[in-house]
Amino acid sequence: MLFPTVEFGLFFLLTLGVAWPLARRLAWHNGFLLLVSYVFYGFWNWAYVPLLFGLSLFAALVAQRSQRSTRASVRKAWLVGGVIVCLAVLVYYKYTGFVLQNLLDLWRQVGTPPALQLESPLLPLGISFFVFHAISLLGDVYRQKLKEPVRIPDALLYVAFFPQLIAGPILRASDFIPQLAKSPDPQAIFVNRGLMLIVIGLIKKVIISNQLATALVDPAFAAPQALAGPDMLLAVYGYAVQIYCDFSGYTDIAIGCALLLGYRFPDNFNRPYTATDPQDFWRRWHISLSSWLRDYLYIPLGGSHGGRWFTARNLMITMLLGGLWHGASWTFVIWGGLHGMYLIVHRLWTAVPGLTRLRTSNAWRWIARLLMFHAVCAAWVFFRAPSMQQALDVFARLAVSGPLTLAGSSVVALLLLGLAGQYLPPRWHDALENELSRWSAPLRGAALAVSLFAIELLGPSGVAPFIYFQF
Amino acid sequence: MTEQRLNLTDSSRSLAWLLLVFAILTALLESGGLRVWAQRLDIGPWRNLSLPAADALHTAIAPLGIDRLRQGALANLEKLRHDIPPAPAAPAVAAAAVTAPICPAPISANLWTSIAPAAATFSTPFIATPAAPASAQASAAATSSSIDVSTLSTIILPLSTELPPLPAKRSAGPRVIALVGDSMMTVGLSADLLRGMAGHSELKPLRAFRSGTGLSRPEVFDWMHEYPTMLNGEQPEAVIVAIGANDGQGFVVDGKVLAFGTDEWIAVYESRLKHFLDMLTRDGAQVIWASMPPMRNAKHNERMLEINRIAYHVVSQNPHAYWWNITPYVGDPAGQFREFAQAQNGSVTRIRQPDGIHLSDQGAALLTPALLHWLESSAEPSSADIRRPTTSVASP
Repeated sequence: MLFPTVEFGLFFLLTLGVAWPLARRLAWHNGFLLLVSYVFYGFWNWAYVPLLFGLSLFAALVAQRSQRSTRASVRKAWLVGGVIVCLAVLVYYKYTGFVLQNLLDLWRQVGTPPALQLESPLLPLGISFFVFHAISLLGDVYRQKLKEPVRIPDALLYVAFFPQLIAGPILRASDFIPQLAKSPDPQAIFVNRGLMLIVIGLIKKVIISNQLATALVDPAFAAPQALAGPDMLLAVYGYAVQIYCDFSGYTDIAIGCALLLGYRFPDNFNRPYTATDPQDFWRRWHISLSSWLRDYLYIPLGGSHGGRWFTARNLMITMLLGGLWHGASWTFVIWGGLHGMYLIVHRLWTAVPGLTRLRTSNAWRWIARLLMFHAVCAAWVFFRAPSMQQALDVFARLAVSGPLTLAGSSVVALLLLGLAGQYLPPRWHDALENELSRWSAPLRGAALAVSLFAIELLGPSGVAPFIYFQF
Repeated sequence: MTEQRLNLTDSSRSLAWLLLVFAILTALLESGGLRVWAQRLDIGPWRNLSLPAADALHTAIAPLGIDRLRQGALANLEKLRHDIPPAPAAPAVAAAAVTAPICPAPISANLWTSIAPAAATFSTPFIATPAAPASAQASAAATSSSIDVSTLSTIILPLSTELPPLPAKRSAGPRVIALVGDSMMTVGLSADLLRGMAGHSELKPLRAFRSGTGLSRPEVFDWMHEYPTMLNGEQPEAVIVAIGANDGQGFVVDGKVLAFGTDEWIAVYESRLKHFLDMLTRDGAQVIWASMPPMRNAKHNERMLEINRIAYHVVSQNPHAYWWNITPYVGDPAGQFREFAQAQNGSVTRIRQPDGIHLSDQGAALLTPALLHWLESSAEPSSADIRRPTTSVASP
């Protein structure tokens, strides 16, 4: 079930209509949300609901066992065992074909590999996200960040809660499970904030992302050989805006839906293309994933508590695995590797003495912002291209002179709108929320209806799946 | 100052009022949209429930004239979009200006063999033979104009597929080639064909494909209506079609639900397919109709086999069209689904998307050389003949 569809609209209105009257009866309320979350997932494929249920139940039982133990070594054993099982599930569904394919290629280097009829299993929707939620539960219990005993229904709902189930944001068990332990307050719902996020998310997804994809990015990346440098550059910028609007639009809607149900999700994006360095970028882009990787991978690897090379190694491992998490393809690994390299180079750069004054100047900040944006765009080429060859073709075409043929006025306007949105002062958002709080509920309902009507008119017919659904 | 003091929160009662007004206004503004949505739902209980409700709502609100305003706004916006030169046409324009040599397809099809040992029989996809008339296929097909449903399952789909030569170009300019279809064309195949055509200034590709479409549900996407618009005034001389992956479903005709595969369903689908093909070939365009490949899901595979039989029957009766079985290129030696294939140098590559339906770029690259060969074959019949091995397998 995609967010910008009538099906989801009806589903969500029904969920709201039942969930709030049940809010005083916590067990019923949470049970109902769990049920509708499985319905939401089953809308894609009922056959995989048992996998979602089984994995979250497994994580919940392991977490309970781990919590009951007072010995750190036992807790660690539960953690390691639990994480191995969770990762095994992820590897089986997501990487079987990729691993076997590469093993056979390696084997070929030393001998004749067996003739195998390879087939990878159907990738369950959102598996990368719900496996990471399960691991987060195990990790937070091991670190004793969850003070109260884990209850099975809460753990199941934490993993399966429908607004975040398919494409995040990745919630921390220690942040979300305590929210499930008490009834949401029916007198304090962040309605305006939630609705604003939903409308903004729909504008990003339906109007900007979808239109850029169909009018610019998809045609250009399908056949880069047919385009000259100016068009290709526009398409690369276009993809940077498209993926931001697509993914941040999804999380805006997810966060907005959660707010309307009385829950708070962490921010996932914070104007990432205003970043002035790679570290800054990863504090702004897919924040819930980057902080997850930092806490559950980079720091356990040793983080920066070692020499320069030790830190560089940890950064590179983290980013390579982060790239692989996005998809079973070498293009994603290269995307992660590029970002790892950016982070390492940035650390070396910041260690150069005597440049403090330059680095803190306004002029440099804008130069750095421009450099960072283009470095991110270069990495996006590998992320978007279906193969290495095609990514290289895109770069090759950038050097070819020729006319700009793809720059229709609507394309340029949408591209600029997507970029300009990054520079809107956050106080405008707050001011709008304050203004809405002065409006009566019926007036806000009318404004919402008119907004959605306008979005429906302005968007192309049909809704493309969100890019991050595939991960 | 806390958020509560600024009164940024509401009660559930206030939320209920807000949503009630929203629902009423949305019903007023979007009654037409809701009706279209209900019509497009898959045939089944959900549609049976939603469509009468949406119809009733639309009928009740129609006198207010709101939907006319909505339709007018949609039409104007659509016009505005079409006034702006559409990007899809641009690659074709740009193709003429490309000076760099054509980039080869990522992997040449004739490098491929199947992973299974028996695949050696398919290791040489192209065997040049003397030219065969385009209508030769017709003689192998059923002779009646409409399908005898009782014998449909007995139709043997040919594996020996010779692509007939294209007639000489009709005009001095580049030859317009329409790429037509649903996601089977959109995903993989169109991209690889566009890459292959990029350096050929004498070929002008035209994008006329749309995911999520088909011939079974014209209320969702009406190809008879949309295709002329997609052509944007061009007259293709050649058309490559890959369509049908979404057609394994029931549909409604005159209020009656026709389940997939029933006699009535087959008759209607055959008729739609025939009209569609007639439209594609109306101006003398030559059509290559690519079959559906074997699918991973057994039930879907069965349905695609049925679609292939109907398409073969219809296409092979049209002298301007040719039904091309792609199973020998992307299937295993038994004609079944395979996800990976092995090149002669031994490297293993994914030829299908993880969904088990669409071709990957590498899978599409197995087909592209034959199609490019066909497109370049004009007035050179001897180079146009592309034949597949004649091994008979039960495959879609």
